[in-house]
Amino acid sequence: MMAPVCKLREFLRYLGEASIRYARESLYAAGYVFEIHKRTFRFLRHIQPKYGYRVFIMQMLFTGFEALWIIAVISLALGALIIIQGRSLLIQVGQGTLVYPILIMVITRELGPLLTAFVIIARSGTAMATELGYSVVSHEIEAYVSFGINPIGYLIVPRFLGVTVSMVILNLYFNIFGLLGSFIVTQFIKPLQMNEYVDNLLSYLTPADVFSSLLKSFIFGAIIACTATYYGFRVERSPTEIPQMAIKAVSRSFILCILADAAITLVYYI
Amino acid sequence: MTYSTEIQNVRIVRNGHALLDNVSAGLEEGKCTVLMGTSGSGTSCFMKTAAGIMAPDTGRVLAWNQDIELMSAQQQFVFREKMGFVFQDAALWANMTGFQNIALPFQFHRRGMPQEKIAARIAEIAGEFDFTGNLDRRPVDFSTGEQKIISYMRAMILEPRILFLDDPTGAIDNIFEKRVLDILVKRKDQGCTLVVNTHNPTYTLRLADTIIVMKAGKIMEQGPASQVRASSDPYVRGVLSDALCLP
Repeated sequence: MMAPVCKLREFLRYLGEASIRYARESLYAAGYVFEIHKRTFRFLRHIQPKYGYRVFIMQMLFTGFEALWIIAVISLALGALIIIQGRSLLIQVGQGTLVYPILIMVITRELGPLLTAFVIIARSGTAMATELGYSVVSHEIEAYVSFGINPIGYLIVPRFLGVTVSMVILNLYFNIFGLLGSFIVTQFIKPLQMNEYVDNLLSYLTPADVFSSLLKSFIFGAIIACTATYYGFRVERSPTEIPQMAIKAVSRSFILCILADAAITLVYYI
Repeated sequence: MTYSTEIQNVRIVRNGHALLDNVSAGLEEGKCTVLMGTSGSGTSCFMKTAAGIMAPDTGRVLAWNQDIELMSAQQQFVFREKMGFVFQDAALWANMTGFQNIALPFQFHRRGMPQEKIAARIAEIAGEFDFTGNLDRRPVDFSTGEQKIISYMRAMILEPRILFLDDPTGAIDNIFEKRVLDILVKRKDQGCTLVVNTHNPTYTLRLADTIIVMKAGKIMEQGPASQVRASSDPYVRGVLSDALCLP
């Protein structure tokens, strides 16, 4: 009789401890995100000195500029696929013009922000988590603290801004290539009239589509920057923790971006 | 007795292991305190706590009679300007050149200073250390000894009033070791407080006014150097005999 009671008590204790640990970690993460936003505000209001601008420019170059070609390839391929497959299928049922709202829905509202986010997670999310993890292990963070340089203000805020701004720009770029660039690709396979294509596209594109896309890219950028840097800082002492935290940063970023995407889409339809 | 920094009843526990266990000590203004202990005894942790880099779980750390944890942003800024820390493994910022590593604290604390003045100050401190290497390289391109010297220059660029040195002779050659010792003696004569974690007998004999011997996160012995040297505790004698070549 005693054994099941003991096991139940042990299970409840485990559950309680895990809950407390999870709640504590969540509170810590919330505090971290709050601190980033507070310091970002100071950075933008020029309350903080300009010593983080170099990091901001470097982050923009790495996250934004260097990812342009990957985004171009993905968006061109995706746009061309939708036009070629969609048109041939929809024409058969007499709904050829439906390809435009489908293009907008897939590229502008859904996959544009999401695929851009995935590219940024894979490139910059891992890089940031790894770099910060290494900085912790090699005591670089402690060196900043020793001089009174706040690591969040100096290292994280410029990265947060760099990733978020890059994410918004890359999403626009994805849309331009996906919607217009794919038209050029299609010309080699199934010629279309440029005027007809652009007019139809613009007639279906609403401000709400553009707003939804921009909002998603902004939120995804913030999520990726916060998650990657958070897990970078979670490295404590050992270099073996760096890849573990980088994996966590990537997987959590994916999950959070997908959840945020679902939530925004839900709000959009409500 | 005036203390630059004082740590009171500090306890730090990580992963169930006490790094510092109810430690209290004062670092006398203008004097040199040498920390000693076997590996893992908590000397590095003591230094980081006293420097306000590591926060205690319980207890408090005072810098010039102000609790570091309770300092305002402005007070922290002033405190950090007065403090330099040389890390055991140099801890240079990997994405900056040697020059930028030395310049950043200077740019941060002397905002708006022209680039020429910063370069002149760096040239001056490099001259003091007899460092003739090219500073426009990344840390990875320097030898570990050179990294340590750059770390010294970075810590001293602001003329700190208290200087923490974690394993000051690690990785540097005999010539630099002597040069650094001369600079430290000069700084001490100018009134700079030194806190040194070392087992180097030359450094201990020439610099130490006070010695703190630690074991497993606790202070085993602390006091004037002559008094600690005369300790009869076997552990203290063991640590000192290694460091000071005592019989």
